[in-house]
Amino acid sequence: MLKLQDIHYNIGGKQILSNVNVQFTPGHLHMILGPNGSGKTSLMKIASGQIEKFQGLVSYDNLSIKEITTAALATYRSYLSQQNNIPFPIKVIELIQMGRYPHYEYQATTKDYEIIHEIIDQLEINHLQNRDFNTLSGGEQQRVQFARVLAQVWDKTLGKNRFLFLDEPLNNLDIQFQKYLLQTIQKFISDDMVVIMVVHDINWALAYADKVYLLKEGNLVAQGKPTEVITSSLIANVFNVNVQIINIPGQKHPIVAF
Amino acid sequence: MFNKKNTIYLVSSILLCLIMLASIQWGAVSITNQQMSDAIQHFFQGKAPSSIYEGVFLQIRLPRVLLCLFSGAILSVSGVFMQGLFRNPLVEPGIIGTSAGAAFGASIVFVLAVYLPLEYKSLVGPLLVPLFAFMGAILATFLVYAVSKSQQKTNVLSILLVGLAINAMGLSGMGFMTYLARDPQARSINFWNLGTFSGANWQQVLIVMSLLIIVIFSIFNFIKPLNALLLGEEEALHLGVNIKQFRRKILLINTIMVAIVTSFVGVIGFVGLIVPHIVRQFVGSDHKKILPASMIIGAAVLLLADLLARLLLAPSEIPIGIITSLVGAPIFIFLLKKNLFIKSDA
Repeated sequence: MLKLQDIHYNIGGKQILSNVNVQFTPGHLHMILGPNGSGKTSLMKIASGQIEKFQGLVSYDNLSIKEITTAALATYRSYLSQQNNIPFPIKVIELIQMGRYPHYEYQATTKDYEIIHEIIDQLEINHLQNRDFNTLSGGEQQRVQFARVLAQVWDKTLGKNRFLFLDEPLNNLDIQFQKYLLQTIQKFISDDMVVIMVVHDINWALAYADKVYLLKEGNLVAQGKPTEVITSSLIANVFNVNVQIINIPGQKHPIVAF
Repeated sequence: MFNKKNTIYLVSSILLCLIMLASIQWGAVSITNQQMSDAIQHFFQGKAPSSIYEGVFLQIRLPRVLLCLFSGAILSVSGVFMQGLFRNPLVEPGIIGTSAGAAFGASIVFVLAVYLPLEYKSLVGPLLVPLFAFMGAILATFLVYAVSKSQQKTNVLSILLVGLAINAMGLSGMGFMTYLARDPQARSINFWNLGTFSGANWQQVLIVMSLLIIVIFSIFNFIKPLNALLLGEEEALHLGVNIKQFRRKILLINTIMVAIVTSFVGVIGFVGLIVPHIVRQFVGSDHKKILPASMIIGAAVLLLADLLARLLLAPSEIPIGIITSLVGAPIFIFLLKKNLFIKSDA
């Protein structure tokens, strides 16, 4: 379990996050929603160990993040960021292999290669393997980066909970692949896996999240099951947009119309 | 048996050996195979060289070729390190001012050593020159790095412009030292601006060789972090790289490398730019392949440049930096056109 207790964070006097308390439980898909500048990415960076100067406590399975080395954390926590700019030509297969870096010293093992190929098969990106990453489309790049972060925490035999952070992973993807990616994530979530994700589309949260978190101006306004959190009054409060929550007969989850 | 990946090492190694042989034999004085083998035999038998040719081979040509070989490898690796750290294919010690900083530091010692009391003078050459070169180089490096980090989004242009300014500072510092200097020293400082291997001796060869050996052994720990940095600093951190520690380590070793080479042979620009660029065309972006290939090709390229420097206007010599800049500048412009608008960091 990933626990955030009494998190306060400010940059240059400006309060970015205040008094955030969250517990991200294994086996669930957690989705963070909020307007631009509400502190979503800061929350992800603090929880994943990238930002170190914050007040409060972040703990992975009851161990404070301050006591975990960068190298050790990388064996069971991976992070997909929004940056895809690579200034040099690089082969897709080489990029995905980097996901296994935390797990070997100098030479990748057979197991590492097995994992890489399993993921390439599962994500159906065999045809991209030998391409230069920079010649791919935005959506293809996103899939390749997703394969890399998945490779990093793929191994179920660690005997440890695994944590996957995805910062707006649906950007650049068409709806077909957005759906495919979400279904893939759902399929991969096992009892020892925590997935935390920032999304913009409220409908995806309704359809796929196990738990939803609403951030507004650095405050956690609501958290809980999607249908409990995504109500017209809360959405109006957080996003300043009036929406209707519509139940469609025969569908498992409602949709948001605005 | 040889796939494409190994062919590059094989071909470049053969090429390196041929250029090395040519560099040893050709020059103001030509040396034959017979004279070379005689000289080696006599050396191991403990006899004095039997001809002037053997002396030229052992005391002038061989140290020069070896110093050039090791320096080429080191400058190229330095280019790879800096490009990896800055995430930018356009930086190298000559362009962003590291070499100029080192040269300025070294020139201070050269000029002001005259005023040292006699009893300290024997210490001056071997210790103070590299030390001051190191201080100059580290100052230049940190200036560039600080500016490149001070903005949220660094672009290639800002790094290059800061490099330009630092180069100008180093150059004017050296100019001032030249102004202060008495005549013979002044000439040696000037020559240094453009680099030369004409003063090579065995002591320098041994120091640069030891440095290269240390670099080769430390490279194993740099491969994964440098590769991870291709993805971005945050990504490298999430892949388990302790970025702050890595940055300190690589900046330190890189500065030492540039300082020592520069204090011996002067500023030789563009090698660290051209060589990694050529190497990437063949082996891609994996530093496991880039680093060894850059060493071999870097050694070959610099040897070739030195050979040209000696032969073009023989028997007189052109500073080697003129050759490397002449070839390097067009490649730099080509790369600039391609990369100027890539943001180097997120």
